[in-house]
Amino acid sequence: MRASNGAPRAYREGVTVTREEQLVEAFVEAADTLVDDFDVIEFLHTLAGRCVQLLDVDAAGIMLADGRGHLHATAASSESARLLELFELQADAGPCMDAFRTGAQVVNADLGASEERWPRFAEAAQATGYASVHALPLRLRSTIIGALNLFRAHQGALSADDIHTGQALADVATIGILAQRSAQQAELLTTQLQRALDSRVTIEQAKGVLAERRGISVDQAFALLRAYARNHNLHLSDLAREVAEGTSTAAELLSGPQLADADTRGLERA
Amino acid sequence: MVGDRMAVVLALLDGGREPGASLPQAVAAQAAAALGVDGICAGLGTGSSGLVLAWGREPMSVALDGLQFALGQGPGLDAAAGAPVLVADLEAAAARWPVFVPAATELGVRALFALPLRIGAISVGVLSAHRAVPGPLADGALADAFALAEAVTLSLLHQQSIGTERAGPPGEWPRAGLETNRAEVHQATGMISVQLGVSLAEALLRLRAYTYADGRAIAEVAADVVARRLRFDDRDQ
Repeated sequence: MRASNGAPRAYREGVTVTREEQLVEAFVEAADTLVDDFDVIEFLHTLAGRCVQLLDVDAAGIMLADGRGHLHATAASSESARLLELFELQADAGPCMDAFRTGAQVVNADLGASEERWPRFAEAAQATGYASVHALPLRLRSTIIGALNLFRAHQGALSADDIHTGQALADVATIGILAQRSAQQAELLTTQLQRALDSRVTIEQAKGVLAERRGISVDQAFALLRAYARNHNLHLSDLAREVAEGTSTAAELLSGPQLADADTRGLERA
Repeated sequence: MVGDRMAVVLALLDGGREPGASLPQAVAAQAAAALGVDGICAGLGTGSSGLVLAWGREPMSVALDGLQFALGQGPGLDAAAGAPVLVADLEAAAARWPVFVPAATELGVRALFALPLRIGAISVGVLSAHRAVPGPLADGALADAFALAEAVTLSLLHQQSIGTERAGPPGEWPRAGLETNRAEVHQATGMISVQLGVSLAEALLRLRAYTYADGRAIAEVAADVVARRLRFDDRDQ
């Protein structure tokens, strides 16, 4: 059991669930992906959240590669713009790109000492308050589809136990994305990946539509979308598509208070 | 990763071209060779009214497109709904398209692959590839095809806007991958569509046009929209 102040993290948060129970739950969630009715983005968000719960890290995210080998931020433990930017910076150079290219773990990278390796990323990550970063490859046999990214705000090494558990969660994510039963077929694998990336783009568009309609931030828009999908037993990706396409009939989701005129005064016009 | 031959094709599609020029037809033949198929084409449209051929006018593609339009069924029309349709053996798929399959095999086509051309919820059309020999796409060719679809989607979106006031300065073509891997670009697209009361496709074009006029990177302009430092309507006038 790992914990920085002597108690398991879950206990510190007042939830009397052991780490082992949480782990089991994470794997049961993964098993749930082996059904047809499965929302990959929702699953990856849950998994990113699990990483922060289970590992001694402060933020987690998953980057997937498209057909051109570009990495895309696909899900994160928080949708804050600053964290998403840290993922996007790695499309060029960063620990995720290294893990994706080599298939090897990048662990306990000290950001202060990484300025030569990934200058832009290291600077931005430090500015956001992170001290160390880790990237674990999303890999099934010889196929590497992206990387799991972990951030720590404080100094000190991630324990071997955490790295091991983190890689197990990365493996679970990979299996979830590729839907294990079909992973042997390269065609389905590629199609599944493309589907995940496409869903992510649709969610970003829907966040923008909702943010503008209700006069809220894109982060708040995502929280609303996710909560609405859960409460109404809808797939996040389906709801996002309807909102983005303007075909959603979810009146209570779409029609919140508008941005007050006072808030928009003085804005530059296009 | 994209194969070497497809990388050449993508560089041709991404590169700057003459103002108002459409997608070079010769590149379609190169793309087909890179994918290991006999021909490819891209059609615009997403509804039941069929597709309008926009790229790749070799005779068999034209014939297959005409068949699907006339019969109201086929892989291309199904792919327009949003999911890739990969038919390695057309004859084995006769139950799915009972009228189209006999007609297409009569023409000598035995494999058909259709990918939707889309950016999230923006649907542009369908990319279709055909082959006289049955069998799946070669290893890696499907990833190449998705990369091609992305580049073609941006090019066709841009091409549709040529000659309209929203097109922005001509001669500048979108570079796939450079603009589609930024979350803010898609968020800003959604916001602008609400500000202007236009479709997502139109909103993306307006964002691109403004970016060119402004001389900045699209991600920078998008970030200003998301942070509400920039609006595309004039509601505060």
